[in-house]
Amino acid sequence: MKTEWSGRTVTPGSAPTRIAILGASGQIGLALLRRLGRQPQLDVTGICRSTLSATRVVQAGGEVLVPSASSPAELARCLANFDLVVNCALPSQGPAGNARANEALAQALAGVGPATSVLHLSSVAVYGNAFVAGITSFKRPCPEDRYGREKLSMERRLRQLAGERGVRLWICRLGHVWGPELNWSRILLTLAADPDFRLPFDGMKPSNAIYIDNLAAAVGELARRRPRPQTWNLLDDPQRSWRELLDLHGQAAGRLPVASMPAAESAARYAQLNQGRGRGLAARLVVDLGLWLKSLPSSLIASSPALQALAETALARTKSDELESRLKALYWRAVARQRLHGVSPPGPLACMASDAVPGPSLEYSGAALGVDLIALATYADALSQPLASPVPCHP
Amino acid sequence: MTLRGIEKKAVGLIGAGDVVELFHLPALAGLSGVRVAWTCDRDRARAARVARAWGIPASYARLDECSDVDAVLVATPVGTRGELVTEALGRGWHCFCEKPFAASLAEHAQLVEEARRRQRLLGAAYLRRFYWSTRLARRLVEAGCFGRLQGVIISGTAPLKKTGVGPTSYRNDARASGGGVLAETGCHAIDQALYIANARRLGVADCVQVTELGLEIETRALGWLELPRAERVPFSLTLSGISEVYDGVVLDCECGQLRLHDDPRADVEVLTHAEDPVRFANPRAAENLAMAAFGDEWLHFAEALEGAPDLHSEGWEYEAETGRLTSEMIEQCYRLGSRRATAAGAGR
Repeated sequence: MKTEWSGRTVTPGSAPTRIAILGASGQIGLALLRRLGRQPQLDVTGICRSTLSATRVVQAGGEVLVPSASSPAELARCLANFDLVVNCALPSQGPAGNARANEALAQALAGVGPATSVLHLSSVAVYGNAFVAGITSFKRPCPEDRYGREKLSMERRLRQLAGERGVRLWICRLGHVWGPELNWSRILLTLAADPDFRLPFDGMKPSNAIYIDNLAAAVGELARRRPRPQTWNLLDDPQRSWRELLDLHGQAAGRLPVASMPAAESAARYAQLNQGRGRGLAARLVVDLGLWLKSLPSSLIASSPALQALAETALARTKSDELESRLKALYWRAVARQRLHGVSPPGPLACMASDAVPGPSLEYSGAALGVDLIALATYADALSQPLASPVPCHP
Repeated sequence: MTLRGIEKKAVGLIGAGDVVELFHLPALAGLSGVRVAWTCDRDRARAARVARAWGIPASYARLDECSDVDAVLVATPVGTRGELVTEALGRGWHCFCEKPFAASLAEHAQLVEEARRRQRLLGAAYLRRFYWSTRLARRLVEAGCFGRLQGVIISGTAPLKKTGVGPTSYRNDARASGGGVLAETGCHAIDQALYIANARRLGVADCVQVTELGLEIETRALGWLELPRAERVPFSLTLSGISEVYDGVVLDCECGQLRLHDDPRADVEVLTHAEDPVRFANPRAAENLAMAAFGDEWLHFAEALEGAPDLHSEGWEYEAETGRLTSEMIEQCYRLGSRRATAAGAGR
């Protein structure tokens, strides 16, 4: 006798692995929940912190839990009912708020007890966005933006707490996750449709990316194999180049391959990206500060990446909303006064100049499924085409 | 960004949430003719923190404690706004409200009536009217550059992917948020489309909504818009928090289709019957245009404020300024959507 649930078959007698996905309404959380829910012997529940987020999971046909937890200990008690907790949650407040939220999350995850394993999804952003091999390493990653720094500090805190409390912790530094309904694919589809876009280095650099189906396959396998606690990168295996990725997305959108930026031009344009990388923050600060002083008063903190990093680190450490508010006010006042609108983040193009991420990658099988080009094409179509023109329905 | 007057107008801020801190305050800081006198939020600590950060002299937790000002920004959830606006108008303050303007058409009419009676200005923060692309599209449609307008498509994805919304947020509450994503997010695209088309009346013929856990999370609707010369054109509306759809407004004209993406930096694209689309490049694409639009909407309101002598606000187009048709479309959608849902439930 078999029991059906969400299109998945569970055979009574062999208990399925109960998986909780924290942050299940996010782009990766929801995509994982859908895919893991189709794998045999996995019983997947989404964990959301608000009703609004939960609506997406319910609509996707998943089971969802909105814990009434008001403290990390309560959330930990809720998570302890599962065999595996996959952490896809990403706080989206300022540095101080994120530091507080990450600390609470780390406490909750480390409080699940020895019977529950934790898979923390980190990011290859811990290595930086555009780097040359040698500047950043697996053991001593060197992030260059707040996202990367927060991911790295969460890794470290979790590792420390899990070690102290005997929790089995796996950390996967995810490559750029792509596939239908994922931001990276949205970006690549936009670039594929842009006639002015030139692919740096002819797209020959490794993409450090992972297809969402491969991610789901790897997580499913991890849940079944339960290896010893470890940290890995998680990438497409074999790695795809940016050219391959762009061409795939171009095909899905019915576009011709994008043109290349010649290697010499690429090298010249990207040469400055790694200046100062690998130096200590203090050394970078001195350089940045000089440049910043020269540029006053047209720009403030935002014009010095090192100063910005220092401010963010300080805010994250002090967890002071007050200080953050004041800095924000200062910055925004300058923006409004000068109609100068900040420094744009490195963005996706910086990643296209990056070497392959260092260190070991998680090996997984079951990934030889190929790319679902039809799903990608449907996504491309949904983004680029409004529904058909309305039919007249006059009263 | 200067006003002609010498004396600065005093503005009070009712609600001290993110939209105030991240957008309205920077926009107000860029206006030389306005000073912010106080913040008021039921979370007294938050009101005080925002006030300190921005050098605002006072903060309050209750409206009746607040000192007199010329105008207020009402940036509390729409479901809590009616009473606050009425009270503010009662104290003789001009009111600029966050979107969506009102929780129902009846409330909308009541607030407009109250403002008219008291001869105070009343406006709504429908930001997209101040996008470069919106303004251009309105001129192109009005001038008939691509022939007669034949239909309007309003389409958007509600950002539920990364809500950042905690369990205590008003957005978890259908009543406080105005019903769901249609009111909370969709009102922007609806208002933008109605503004470009210069619609005078509308009717929703059919509407299907998806609701989950008490919140509306997807709306699909069809109907008609009446244009200035009384001709009617059909419209379709798709707003989804579940699946990703085209984000933007499309104006279907006789000789081409104008497409405006929801990104304020985007160009205006016109698909014609000829081979290549015509692209009007956004000359301000390098700026932070969301911030610029906040600045422009405040400038628009502040200039009216300066030009409005006491007890005289004739010439202020209350219905247009507050987006009455937007409220009407939202209300009709919710009414038809819930009727359909009830009928489907009864059928089961």
